[in-house]
Amino acid sequence: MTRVGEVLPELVIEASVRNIVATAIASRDYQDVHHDIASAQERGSKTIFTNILTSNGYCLRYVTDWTGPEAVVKRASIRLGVPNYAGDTMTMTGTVDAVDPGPDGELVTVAVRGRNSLGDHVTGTVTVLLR
Amino acid sequence: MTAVGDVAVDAAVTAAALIEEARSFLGPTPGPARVGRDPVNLPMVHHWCQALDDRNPAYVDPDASTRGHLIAPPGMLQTWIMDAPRDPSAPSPNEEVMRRLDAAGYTSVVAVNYDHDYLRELSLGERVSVRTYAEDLSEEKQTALGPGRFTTTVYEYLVGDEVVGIGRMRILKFRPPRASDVGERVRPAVGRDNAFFWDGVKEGELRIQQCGGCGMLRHPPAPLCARCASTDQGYVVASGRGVVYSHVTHHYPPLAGVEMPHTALLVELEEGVRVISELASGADPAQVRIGLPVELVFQKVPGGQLLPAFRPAS
Repeated sequence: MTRVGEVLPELVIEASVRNIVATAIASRDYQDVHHDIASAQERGSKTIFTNILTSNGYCLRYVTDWTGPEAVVKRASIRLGVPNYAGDTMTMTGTVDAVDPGPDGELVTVAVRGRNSLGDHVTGTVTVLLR
Repeated sequence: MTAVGDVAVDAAVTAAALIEEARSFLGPTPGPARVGRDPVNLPMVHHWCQALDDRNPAYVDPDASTRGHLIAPPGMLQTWIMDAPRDPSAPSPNEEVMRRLDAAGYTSVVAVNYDHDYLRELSLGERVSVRTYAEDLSEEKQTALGPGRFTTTVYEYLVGDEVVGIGRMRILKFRPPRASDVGERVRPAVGRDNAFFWDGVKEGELRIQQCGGCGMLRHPPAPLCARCASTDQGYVVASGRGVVYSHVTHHYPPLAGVEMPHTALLVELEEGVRVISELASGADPAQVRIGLPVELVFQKVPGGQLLPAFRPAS
């Protein structure tokens, strides 16, 4: 049984140039700020940074790493904060926020946070169905 | 009213009309669906899983799957329509809103929220399409990035006629502040204790207060000596040479009359006192380190005030 307050193991994600470019292209996001350092700097950023689809993807991955493959992801609600620049490291943490019994199983909501050297890059909740 | 004033009024009227027009496109009146270029497929799933190092076997390993078939990573929902062709002659309702926000001067964008309801899992071979519309448009808000308006775009993801997911992306469309918009630097409060210092700045001198009783130097100026309690005051003119004792570079939030990034310096003068100052404009903040020899310059800051600053010693 999953309990409210249960803490998920941390996950550390290196925001290397390779990682930022690979994830942006894997999500078919060709905006230059996610792969072209010179363009990103021209637009006022320090360097290239993680795209939104990837930040969301990491939140889902973080929770399903913990639940295992049977979990069905039902909902994600994330808030975007500071950029996740190349060269930084993001540490994901999470706590079970709610456990609601339903007809098909337990709906478990995890509060997640991805923090880097500038502060919170992403905070939010991910809800999964555990049968 | 002057011609310049009329132009400003016209611009405000135009912006208000554009916002009103933008509002007429709000609400769930989605246009035709855009169809993703490729159906849900294993090569793209592999690419995603490798890039994000997501090892969930439900996506890639048919033998390990308890579902009897592979599913797509739910985080890829938007990916399936990222490459869907757009018809520029038939903009979606949210694109109509964006165009008018751009025209009204809110040309920059930052996403603030990204929410999804994943209504069911997707299987290989399914072709996702999307319909989008703008759900809301806020009043103008003063944000740390500049004046802007929040708007939420709703993404209705479909397989055939079935809605398989709903996405909501809330963004801030804002007017980026121009360099000339940084405002004026706060003026110093000048009183009897520190008037000699600011008179010195006007003369191009960095004056350091000296106790008339015991000769000790002190900065910032104060009414009496911490060592001998004398209220006799004089000053010496600093050579302008020193080293960086400490420093911090400020990027955010914006400050009135300050060009970003702004490097504040604590300089130890060769006379032995420390003064808080700033890095001269044009000097590279990345060069600054503790112990760096620096030299005094005087520069005008936004608003016209002359202030002492320091640059790396030549």
